[in-house]
Amino acid sequence: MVATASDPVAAHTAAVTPVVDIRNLSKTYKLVLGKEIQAVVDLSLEIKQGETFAIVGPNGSGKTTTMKMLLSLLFPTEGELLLFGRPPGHPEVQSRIGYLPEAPYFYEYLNGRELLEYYGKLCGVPSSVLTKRIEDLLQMVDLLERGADMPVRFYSRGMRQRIGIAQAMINNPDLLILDEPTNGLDPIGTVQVRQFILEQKKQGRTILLCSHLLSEVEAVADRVAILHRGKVLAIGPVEELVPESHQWELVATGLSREAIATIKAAGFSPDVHGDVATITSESQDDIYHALGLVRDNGGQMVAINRPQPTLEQQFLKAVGEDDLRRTVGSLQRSAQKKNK
Amino acid sequence: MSNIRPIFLIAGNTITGTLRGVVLNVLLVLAALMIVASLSTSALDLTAARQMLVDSGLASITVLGALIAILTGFTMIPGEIESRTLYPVLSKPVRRWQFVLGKFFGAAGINAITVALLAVLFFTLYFIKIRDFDIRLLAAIGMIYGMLLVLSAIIIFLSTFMSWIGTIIVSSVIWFIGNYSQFLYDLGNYHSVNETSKLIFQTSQKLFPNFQAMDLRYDIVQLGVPAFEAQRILVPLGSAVIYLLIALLLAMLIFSYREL
Ligand SMILES: Nc1ncnc2c1ncn2[C@@H]1O[C@H](COP(=O)(O)OP(=O)(O)OP(=O)(O)O)[C@@H](O)[C@H]1O
Ligand SMILES: [Mg+2]
Repeated sequence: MVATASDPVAAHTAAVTPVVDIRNLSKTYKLVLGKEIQAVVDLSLEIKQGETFAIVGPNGSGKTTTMKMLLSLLFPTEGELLLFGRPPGHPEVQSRIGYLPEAPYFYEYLNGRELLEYYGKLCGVPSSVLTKRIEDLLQMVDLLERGADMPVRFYSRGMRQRIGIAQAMINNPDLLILDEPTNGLDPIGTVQVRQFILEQKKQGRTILLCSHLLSEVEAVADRVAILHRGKVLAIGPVEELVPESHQWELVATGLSREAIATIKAAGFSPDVHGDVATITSESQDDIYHALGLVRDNGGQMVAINRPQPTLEQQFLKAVGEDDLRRTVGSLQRSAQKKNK
Repeated sequence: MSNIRPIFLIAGNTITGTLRGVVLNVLLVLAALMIVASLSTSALDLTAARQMLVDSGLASITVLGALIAILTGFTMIPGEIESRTLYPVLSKPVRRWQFVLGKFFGAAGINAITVALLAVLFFTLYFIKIRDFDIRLLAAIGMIYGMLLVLSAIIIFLSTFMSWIGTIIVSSVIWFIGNYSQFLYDLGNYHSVNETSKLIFQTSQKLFPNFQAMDLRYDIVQLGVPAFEAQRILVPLGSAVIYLLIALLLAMLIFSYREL
């Protein structure tokens, strides 16, 4: 699979040919009564060998649609797709890909081990290698003790996600395509998946993942494409999309409505969620001034931070659309609630 | 070789799933009970008993086999689409046409299990009552298996583009009409009131698979043929094979272009 040194031409071609090459890709779903949904609009991107690339966008922005086209589960309306320099769907291409579908489902009547065995055989993994690999993968996704011999019927949502990650790895793929890999996982599972992605990255695999949460991919992705209603809003390395912070942030609680009004009157615009108010400013002096106001009005300081602007905030800035504000805002709030 | 492997892996997994499921097992138990019940009537003399056993025995295997083929077959492809279990499969080095053929061979395996179990039951009851083994019955049961294969191919074909309800209804109708092929033929050739109806009956007789021609009951019971001529078997079998191949080719073609 990996080009050998004895074949310099092949090695060169492999290094130059992008693993994923998407050119002017569009997908329009045709609905009844002549209605149409433009799920992906003129998307172009290249993913190089060994790169970790993330597609981020709110619900319905076309992430899954794009991935399904890469696996030829869907066919493009326009444009061109190449994987390892070949059109998708070809068995030789597929045998180098590991795919984790969105909210995956598996044969309920098989247990974890049988399931991996089935997929491994479909990939043509020799049985001498397969048995060991299955045990390793079950171990990796924490299903060896509980799950290996249990029918998938009895799996929890998170266990399904884990076995999904294991099956994506069964053919030792060069390219991993992960559709919302942390979907349905608890905080520990989320961290484990992040570590898993970093580990695969270290091993030189090319990774394409997507998420609706930018914070989820920041830590792992080399480059990010921000997708909104099928269009790319921004594309580039994480550092470029997230500039240096010049912000100060004061988090306070115990402020009455009058207290908030006083703080507002002093020229601040606190962001209030329930009992928690967040005051931001570019000046450190202003933040100390605000802290004084909080104390004088019966509130308590929780923290003073210098937050790195997340991709989310960047994202909001880039778009500035009301619907996005609502979508991402509600996502952040629900994430905050979950974290509490 | 690498083209064939996925097909049989998918077939094997389909059979496993059906065997571990409820539908087939319940239907098989019901079918066995029905066969025992229908063959348990005590007849007057041996000839009459033999005729009755053959007639209702073969009829039961045919109808119950078809019922099981339809009820286990209609979900094979739509079920995997709806539950999305087919995404991980099709993202492996598996072609769409291999998936379709895998499902067909899975259905063929399930039909084989059904027919074998019911046939063993039938032969046992037959032996208990008549103290005899009739080789013609084996031929008749082989033909029933052929009918079920054609039916399964039709179900697979329909389910590549129809809803599951549509698949059940249309395949049942095709099964029914195919079993009354002679009736259509007679309508077309002798009883048509005008040219249009004649044309309709004649073309539909040719369009639907002729399951009736594969039914050897009449030859055994009514005609009492001592043995089948090769022609009696091979002609209907040949057209069955053609029908089956067309259905499968269309299924493979349609499924290859389907958005999933
Ligand atoms: N099979 C389909 N038929 C018609 N429209 C579809 C179909 N699948 C997706 N869409 C539409 O295409 C758009 C993009 O959907 P897609 O599933 O790609 O979004 P997504 O970015 O993966 O969203 P999410 O974060 O919710 O998973 C949406 O507007 C959706 O309604
Ligand atoms: Mg999605």
